[in-house]
Amino acid sequence: MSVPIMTLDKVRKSYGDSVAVHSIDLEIAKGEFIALMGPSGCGKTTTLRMLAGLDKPSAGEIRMWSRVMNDVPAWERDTPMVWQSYALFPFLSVLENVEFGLKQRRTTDAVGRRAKAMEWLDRLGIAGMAGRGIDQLSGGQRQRVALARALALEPEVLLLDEPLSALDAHLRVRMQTELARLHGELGITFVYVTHTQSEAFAMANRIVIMSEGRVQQIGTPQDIYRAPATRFVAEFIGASNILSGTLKESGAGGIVIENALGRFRSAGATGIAVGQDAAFVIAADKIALTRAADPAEPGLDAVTGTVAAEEFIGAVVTIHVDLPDGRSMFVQKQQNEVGRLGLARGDEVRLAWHPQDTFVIPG
Amino acid sequence: MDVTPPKRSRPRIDRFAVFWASPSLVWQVAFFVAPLVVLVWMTFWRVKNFKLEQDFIPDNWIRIFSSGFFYDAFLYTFWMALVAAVLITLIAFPAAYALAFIASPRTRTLAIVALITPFFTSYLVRIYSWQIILAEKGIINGVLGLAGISPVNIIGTSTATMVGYVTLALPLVLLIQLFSLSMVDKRLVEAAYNLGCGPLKTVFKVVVPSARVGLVIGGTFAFLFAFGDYVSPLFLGGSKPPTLSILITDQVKSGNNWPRAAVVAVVMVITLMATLTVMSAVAYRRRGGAR
Repeated sequence: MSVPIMTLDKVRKSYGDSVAVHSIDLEIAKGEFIALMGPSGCGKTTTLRMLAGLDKPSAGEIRMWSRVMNDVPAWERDTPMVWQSYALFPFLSVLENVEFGLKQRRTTDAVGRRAKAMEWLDRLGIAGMAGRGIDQLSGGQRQRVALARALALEPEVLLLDEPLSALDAHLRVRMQTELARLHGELGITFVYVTHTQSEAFAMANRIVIMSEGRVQQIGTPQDIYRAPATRFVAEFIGASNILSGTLKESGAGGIVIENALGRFRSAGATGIAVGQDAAFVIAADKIALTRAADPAEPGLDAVTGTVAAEEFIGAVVTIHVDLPDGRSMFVQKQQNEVGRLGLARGDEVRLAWHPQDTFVIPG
Repeated sequence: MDVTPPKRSRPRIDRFAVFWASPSLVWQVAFFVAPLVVLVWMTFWRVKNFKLEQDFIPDNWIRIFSSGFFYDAFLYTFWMALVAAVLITLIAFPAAYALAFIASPRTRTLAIVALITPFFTSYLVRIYSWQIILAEKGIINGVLGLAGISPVNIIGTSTATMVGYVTLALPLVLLIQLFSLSMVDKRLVEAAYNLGCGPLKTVFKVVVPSARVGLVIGGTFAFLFAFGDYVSPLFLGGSKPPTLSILITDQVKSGNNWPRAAVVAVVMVITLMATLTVMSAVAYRRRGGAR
């Protein structure tokens, strides 16, 4: 990677005794769409605020290109933000809101400023609202004004703090598409804070998962989805089954984890020593589901259990299975596949998977 | 879903609301509306041999409006109240801003208590103490004398009157400003910083417009207080030049001319109402008129 546009180097933020961000290392490449994701209180918003210069790191260094930004005040930076609450100025019209940042720059005269603001309003499809007051706009329109206000500055980096969380569901999806499109067209680096998986997975090139002020995993959506690095990530993403046990073998032949249900193989390497607690993770959609009475497919690891519940979400069905030792697993299948099996609650089923589809995390 | 819209019933008078609102309503009618009606009525009475007689003549209005001293007094009073409103607003703002944005919650609470305390002491007492400070041989001139500066004449001037106005209205204006500044959305301030607007500029471009209602209402209160005040122009300003309030007492004292005093009073009430109307319109004016 060439010089990152933004670098966080062991950045820490504490307020008195409470630590919001422990020690975060992150390099953001030019043109990336990076999502900071985690539950509330995980430090993602604090991190974004430090990038904007609204909070000052307690330790560590924030760099933009190679310039150290720690002591650069917010108003001398070029990292406009789109706020969860939009933070539009209610005493200014839509047009004046968009012109606000341009006015501070003084790079153009009033005519050029107006033209630029109108151009962005037009680009976001709200040119007709230019003369309106903010209180005359719907949530979706406000969101667009907030975006236009930030983008009119034509920054290198755009910061977004849960920008879609105040919108209703169908508008959220539309804005997602639009944000992804804008990112593609503009080549601006987007740093996007969210607690919603679907937003991060739909738009970001890279996702940073945070928990309690620490980075849990940085990776592409595929990495995060298929190979969560920690139990926290696996649970937060929620797409996988986590079965814990004890690591029995670790070597060239793979890893074996044993628990009350049996011995399970995994392909990946791990730093966990033999005899320690470990868990293996298997994605819910990588599990083959058959009736327990059907012949087992060779080469697969499997457990048997009873069907506990079925959930329909569109074309996908989630089947919850109770295992003999009291644990439960879930399987995600296309509805037509499951329909063929004709399962009912209490039916005996076998869950089987390829060992190479699993991987191991610390227990 | 089968939801039948609630039937429109005749607007019912909420007995509960009426019960609790009635004391203040009764009070207002008995001690404000009724006297006002009597006051307006009285402007048409006549005074014969220092005695009040019921009548319906326009003479008092003609007399007052054709005398130069009334216009002088009106303009002076209006001007002084206007200056007081602007001056007090400007003095109060930095303090209110510091308390709302910079001070710790503890300091803010202490300051609010300190600002309310003056309301427990009589305004007259506070004006007397200003007399001691501003007097010819008072504290200020005493200090100036020690520094070898010749005494300045403060008492009996418009400056002294203005000092009284500030004493009267500053705590209230500061409180109003403080409350309205406390309600300014701090995220708007951050948004302004984020868009490249420095802290000082943000105060004028974001904080002041956001707190506009409080700032305008505060200034309006200062105007109302100063416009109607009698104590300060009398005891500090020495009635020179007279304000409308002093004109009223003059009319009553010299010649027992209650009707003419009533004319001045009615003019004052109208002025204050007009000011209030205009200023509330300014305070609550909306942005973005298109459609």
